[in-house]
Amino acid sequence: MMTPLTGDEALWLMERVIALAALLQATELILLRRIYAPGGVWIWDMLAPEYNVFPAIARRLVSATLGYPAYLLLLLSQAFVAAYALFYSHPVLFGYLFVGTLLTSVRWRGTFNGGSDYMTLLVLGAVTVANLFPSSSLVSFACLCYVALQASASYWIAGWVKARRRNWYTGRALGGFLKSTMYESARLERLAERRSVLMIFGWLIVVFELSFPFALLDVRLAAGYLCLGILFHFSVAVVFGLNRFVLPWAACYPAIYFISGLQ
Amino acid sequence: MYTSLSVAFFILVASYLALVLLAKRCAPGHIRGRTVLLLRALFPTWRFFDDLAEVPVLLVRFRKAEGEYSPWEPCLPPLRRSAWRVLLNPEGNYQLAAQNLLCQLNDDIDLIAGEDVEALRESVSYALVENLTSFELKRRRLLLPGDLFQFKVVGRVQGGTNEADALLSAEHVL
Repeated sequence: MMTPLTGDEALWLMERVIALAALLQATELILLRRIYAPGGVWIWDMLAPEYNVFPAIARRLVSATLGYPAYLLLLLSQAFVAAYALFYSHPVLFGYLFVGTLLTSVRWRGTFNGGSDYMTLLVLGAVTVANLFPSSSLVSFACLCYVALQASASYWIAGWVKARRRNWYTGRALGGFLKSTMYESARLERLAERRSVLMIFGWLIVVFELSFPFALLDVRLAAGYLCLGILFHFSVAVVFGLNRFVLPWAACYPAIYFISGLQ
Repeated sequence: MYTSLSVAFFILVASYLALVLLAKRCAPGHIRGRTVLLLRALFPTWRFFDDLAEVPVLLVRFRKAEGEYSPWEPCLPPLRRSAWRVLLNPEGNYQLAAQNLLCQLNDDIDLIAGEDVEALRESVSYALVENLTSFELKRRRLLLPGDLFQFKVVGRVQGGTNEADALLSAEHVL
């Protein structure tokens, strides 16, 4: 017998997982400090003119926070706040993480890591709003609904764009992606040549993504889909190096599980 | 009390959804506003791995002041997979960010290079790719200050081997 989550439990779990995601993301960027320090690649003095499109007040904010070493200090404070938010809930903590993640995306000319930045911001925004109104169960409910809706949409849209491409049914698309990862792997090269295996996995991925919204209908369905989802994201992290997708999507799962248990 | 809070919240959510829908109506290639591009993390698209595409690949060659150029080789070496990288993968994410940068340079090539190669060479994307190349050469200890290098961006369909030159850089000094 599956036990549905209460709204408070779902929100609490979401906060812990997204705090862990923010902590790991900040740690990765701290470890990468050479690439945005002077002598690196994304040097602030070169990037700064691009931000002249912002209003004066926003320009002042980005110049004060995104240069070096100010940006490194921002990331260190993000890591500290995220570690604190692993145990405590407060709108200021999650609001700070939201603003820091947005500034990081802006510093990388839009996003540092595409989809994972979208989902991290979405969940941080939702938990910040829910914490701003702790006594309103309606606001918490709306935040959980919004996260569940966007998470389901993320799978469905990704499935829909694949379903319209013949390459996904023949295995050619998956084979091509496997051959163009950042990793060196003879085993993966061999797998990318096995058309029947690629075809089966291509179909499985399309069907899984397209049917994901059914997870919202029942807790047992939700439990099954969420286990498959975790397996899917771990596989993507191992094969393609997209580790940043695991936790932001896992942070949405309590919301999906909560909605699926509504009577 | 609850009513006013709820109304305010739903207006917030509805505004955000309207912005998301508006952003979805424009294909990424058609978004011209720099502000929207810089803030695009707020407008999720959820289109991942939709089909095989031509992706930019960065190649580099180099020479000592008096020597000949080396053959072209990939600027970013392939990484070794490890279980640890599922949790923390700074090097992998650096490579993904570099790939993102090459896509931005490709967009700039489409937008401005048609008639004006000099304008492209003055763009931020070009300067950052030049930085990326020299950073990698220094990191791999292949060159000394004063040595020369050149990079080129080629388009390669994922999973394929055919390449088409998209951009050949000027000669740069490390």
